[in-house]
Amino acid sequence: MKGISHFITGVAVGTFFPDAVRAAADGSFILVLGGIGGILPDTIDFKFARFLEEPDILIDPHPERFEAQKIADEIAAGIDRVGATHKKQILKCNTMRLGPDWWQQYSLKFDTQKSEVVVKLGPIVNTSQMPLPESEREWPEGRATIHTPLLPTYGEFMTVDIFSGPSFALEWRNGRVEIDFIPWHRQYSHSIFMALLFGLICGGLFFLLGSSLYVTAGLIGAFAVMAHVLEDQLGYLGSNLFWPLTKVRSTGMKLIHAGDAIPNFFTVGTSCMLIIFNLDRFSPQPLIDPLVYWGVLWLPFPIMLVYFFVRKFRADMLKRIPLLAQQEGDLVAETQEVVDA
Amino acid sequence: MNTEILTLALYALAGALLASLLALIPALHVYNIAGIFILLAASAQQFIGGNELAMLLLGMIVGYAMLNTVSAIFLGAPDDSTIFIVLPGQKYLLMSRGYEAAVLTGIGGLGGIAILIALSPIAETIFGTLRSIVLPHLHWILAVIIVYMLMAEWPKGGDRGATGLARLWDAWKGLGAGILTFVLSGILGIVLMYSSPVPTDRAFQNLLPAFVGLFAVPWVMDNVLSGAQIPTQHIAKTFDAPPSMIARGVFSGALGGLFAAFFPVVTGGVGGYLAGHATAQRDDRVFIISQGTSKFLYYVGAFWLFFLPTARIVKGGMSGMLATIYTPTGPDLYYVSVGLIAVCGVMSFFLLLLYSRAAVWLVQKVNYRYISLATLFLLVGLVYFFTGLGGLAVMLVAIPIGWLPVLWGSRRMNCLGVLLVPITLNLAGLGPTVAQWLGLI
Repeated sequence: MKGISHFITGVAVGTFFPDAVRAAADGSFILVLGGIGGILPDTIDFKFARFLEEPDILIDPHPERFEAQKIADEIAAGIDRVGATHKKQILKCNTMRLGPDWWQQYSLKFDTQKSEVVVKLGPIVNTSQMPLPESEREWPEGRATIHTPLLPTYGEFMTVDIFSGPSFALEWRNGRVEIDFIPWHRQYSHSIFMALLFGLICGGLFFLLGSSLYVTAGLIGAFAVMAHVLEDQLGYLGSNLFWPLTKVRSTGMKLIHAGDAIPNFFTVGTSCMLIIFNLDRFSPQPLIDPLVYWGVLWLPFPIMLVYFFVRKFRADMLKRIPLLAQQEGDLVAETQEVVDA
Repeated sequence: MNTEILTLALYALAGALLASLLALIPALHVYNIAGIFILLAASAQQFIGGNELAMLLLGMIVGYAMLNTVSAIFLGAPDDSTIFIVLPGQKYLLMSRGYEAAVLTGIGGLGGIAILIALSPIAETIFGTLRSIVLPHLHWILAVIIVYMLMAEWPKGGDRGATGLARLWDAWKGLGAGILTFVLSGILGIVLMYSSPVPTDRAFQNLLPAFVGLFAVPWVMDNVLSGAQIPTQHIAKTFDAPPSMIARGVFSGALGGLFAAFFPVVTGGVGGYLAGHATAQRDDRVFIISQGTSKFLYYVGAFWLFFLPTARIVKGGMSGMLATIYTPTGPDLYYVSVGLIAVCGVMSFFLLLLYSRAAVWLVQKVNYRYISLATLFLLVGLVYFFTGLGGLAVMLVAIPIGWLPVLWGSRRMNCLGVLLVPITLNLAGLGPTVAQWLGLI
């Protein structure tokens, strides 16, 4: 889900604690902990973990001397090396910046049907990824054959253009090479362990500050992180929920993609309504009639969600995409959100 | 009654016409002039009645809300509410589509009018109840917005570096600059609130030099230094936005604008930014339309809430100033104000088309560096005129803070710490304590 959905869910979680709401009305900032916990897992990944990852294969092309064939060869050789040694490799593709707002786009595709890596040069784009008219150059495409069997993966062209480029873990699994997109994401940061840790930090901090609400603060922090982790389970790729006991990211419930507009809007809208409802419920003189509030005012949100699922399941019936490809597509969308933000 | 309505309409249309001219002058905020009008009206009540003054100001705020994009897009001189439009707007300008960007914001504004009309019968119930519920909670809600603004800024570098720590440092330079911008502008805001060098007789212009220094001057200076060349502009006969796209933009902008109109300190830009995230919008056109709606509802919506027959919410500079000398009464005036918002809004939209054509002519005829230089002199002159040497001092302090995001590629929105920090602290009752720490009181 998008950052704002996780964030506002965390705030909503906090408002379920009556003592926290009453303290907030008296000037406390305790409910802010919910928001921080809500966005914390992605903050750890996108602001720290991604930069600490050491690449084994670094693609760092030059816009004027772009060698598509050489890049494709390098990536294919890396995959074959994993096939031969069974040792994990991290592939990182850097972007090409041309100026403050201009980037030279290129794209790559892992074609599992033909066992090929395809690399091609794209147009010049601005930071909103809008192409500069007539900037696409005639440039030879790079194609390299992979001699090692691949597990199904995201099969479309992935563009590498603005800010930070993507990375991939090439890993030997069940007799084939798995191409795992953005391997630093949704690992330890999206686990029950992280929820407990953040809860302890929040509780400890409030205890040290002499607040009697330290237990509530700890619970808000822990539940907010947990809410983020659970929301991510709704997608195609779950997370490494039981880190450090487990090493791999689980499969999600396959209900939504991270960037889907309607589920995100549903989450934000419902969370806002929950916050207002709880603030009213725990106030000395509640004003809201629950029946009207949930029965009438909230109604557009579930209706939109139903419409979304009807359309989604119809579309899913028409095109059968392998699960791994869907999961990697989800990660591409989530990284895109961070880029957009 | 009909004659009275006609008189009120004439005042509102005159206000819209006046504001449409004022909106063309970069950094000259409608509140700067409205403040003077209210001071004059207070001492000359035999010449202008309360309702007439209110409708004159209503027209002014409608005209300003619709037309202040012209200076933001074509002159690159934004304020706190147009800061989000200037980036896509100038991008469009560099792609020969400046006129189209201005029109898209206008369409957003028209959408905002439709939203206000649709909400007018139920606004009393919704906003009245909502205000009662959230009033004791405003401090932490603003803190939540601040935390989100800072936590949702993601690194824009960090690709290159021999070690993980080197990459981390590279990535955090921009983020650190963003946080520093927010902290420094927040301190500036606290200083202005407790010990402003702006003379007390011009206290209602207190924030003008800070806004000019934080938002307008860095952008204009950037245009002067970079020597940006404006390509030949295309006056499009149609706009490239299907109805579904307009609906998405207006919907998103309405959420943000109404949020900003209702909550203290949250500007139209911030409201639109939050709503854009909430509704998962990506397209530049949707973004520009939504900012047009959000900006319109932020200014006009806040003033419209002042006319609610019983709830009468005082939010925003205009109603804050007017409330000191005038109280609107009755549902009739409320519905008249809604109608006049629509009339003035539509007239301002057509003026926007006209003025945007004039701006296109200007940027094509005159070297853009000279336009930017003239804008810069105008900004400095206005700050001196309205706030004296004290204001110039504030502006000189604000400029380097406003430059930080330009130099480090972080978000300019962080400059809004100038408003968000002091107000949040005050709402939580912590403002005087922090001012004491800073030696201000």
